[in-house]
Amino acid sequence: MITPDQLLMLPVCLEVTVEPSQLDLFGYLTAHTLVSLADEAGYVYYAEFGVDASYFESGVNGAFTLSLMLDRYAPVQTGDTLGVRYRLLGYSYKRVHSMAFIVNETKREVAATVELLDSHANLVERRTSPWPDAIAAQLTTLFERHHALDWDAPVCGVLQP
Amino acid sequence: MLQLPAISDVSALPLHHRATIIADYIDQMAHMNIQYYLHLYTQAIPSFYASLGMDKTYFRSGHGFFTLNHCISYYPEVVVGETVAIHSRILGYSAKRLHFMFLMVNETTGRLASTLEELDSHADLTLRRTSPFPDAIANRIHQRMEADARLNWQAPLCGVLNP
Repeated sequence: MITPDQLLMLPVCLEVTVEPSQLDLFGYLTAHTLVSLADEAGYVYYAEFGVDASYFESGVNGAFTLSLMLDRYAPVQTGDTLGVRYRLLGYSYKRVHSMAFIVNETKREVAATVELLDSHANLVERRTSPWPDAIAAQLTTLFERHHALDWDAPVCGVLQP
Repeated sequence: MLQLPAISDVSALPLHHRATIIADYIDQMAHMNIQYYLHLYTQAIPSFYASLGMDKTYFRSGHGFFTLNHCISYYPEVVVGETVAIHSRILGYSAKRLHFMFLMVNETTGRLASTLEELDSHADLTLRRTSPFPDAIANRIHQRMEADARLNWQAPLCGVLNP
C-alpha cells in the first residue's frame, strides 16, 4: 500500500478534522463524507492544470464525473486530521483520470482512495467537450510530473481516459 | 459500449428508496453533485439489508457490515425537481461477503441515472472484524441470489469486484 511519505510530492488540496456527525452507525467515516472530501479537494486540484473558479464562472465550461471508485483502507476516528492529495493518472482530449488519496495525518496512513474519471463539458449544450488547448497543455505538464513518480497508484484497472 | 438495462427491467426489481432532488444537492455544474448520489444510495441501504433479514435490531446486537469497495457510474444528469428511485440486484455472495448493485432510475425522464456496485463484508462489531453471515441470513441471500440469477439481462458491472 502507498505510504504517506510517498505522497509528499503531491500538494495537500484539503485538510479537515473528522467530526462525530461524519461517522456512520458502525463508527466508520461515511462514504458520502469521503466522496465529499474528494469533491471539495478536486476544485483545488483542478486549479493545478488551469481549471480554477474563474474558468467555471462563465457558465459555459464545466466538468462531469463519469465514474468513481472508492476503496477504504483504514478506519478513522473523530478528531483525526485528514489530508487530501491528488495524482493525475492519465488524460485524453476530453477526459482526466485522477486519484484522490485521503490520508489520515494523525495516524500516518492512507485511509481511502477515490479514483475518478471526469470529462470536460460544455454546460450550455450539456455535453462532454474537448479541453481547450491551454488547459490541455497544462494537463500534459502535470501528467509528466506525476507520471515520473516512482510508485504506482492502486488503480482499479478498468477506468481509462 | 456498455449495454444499459431497460428501465422496465430495473423498475421490476425491489425498490428501496425514492427521493425528489432538492436544490441543496445541486452543484456549480447545475446538476446533482456526485456526493449526493452516494447520499441517496446510503438511504436505500437499511431497506435493502432489512429485506435480507438484517434490520435495525440485528445491527444493534453486535452485527454490522463493512463496505470494502464502491464503484459508481454516472449516466445522464439528474437535476433539481426530478424524482429518482433506487432498486437492488444481488450479483454474488460468499460466506462473508455480499456483492450487489443499486440502480438509480430517474423516474422523471425515464432513464437510468446511475449505478452503484458495492462489495460489503458482514462483520462482528465487538471484534471489529469481518465474520460469516449467520445461516438464516445466508439462506435469505441465497434465495434472493437465485431469483436475480434468473433475470434475463446483464447488470452493467465494473468488472473488478468479486465476493
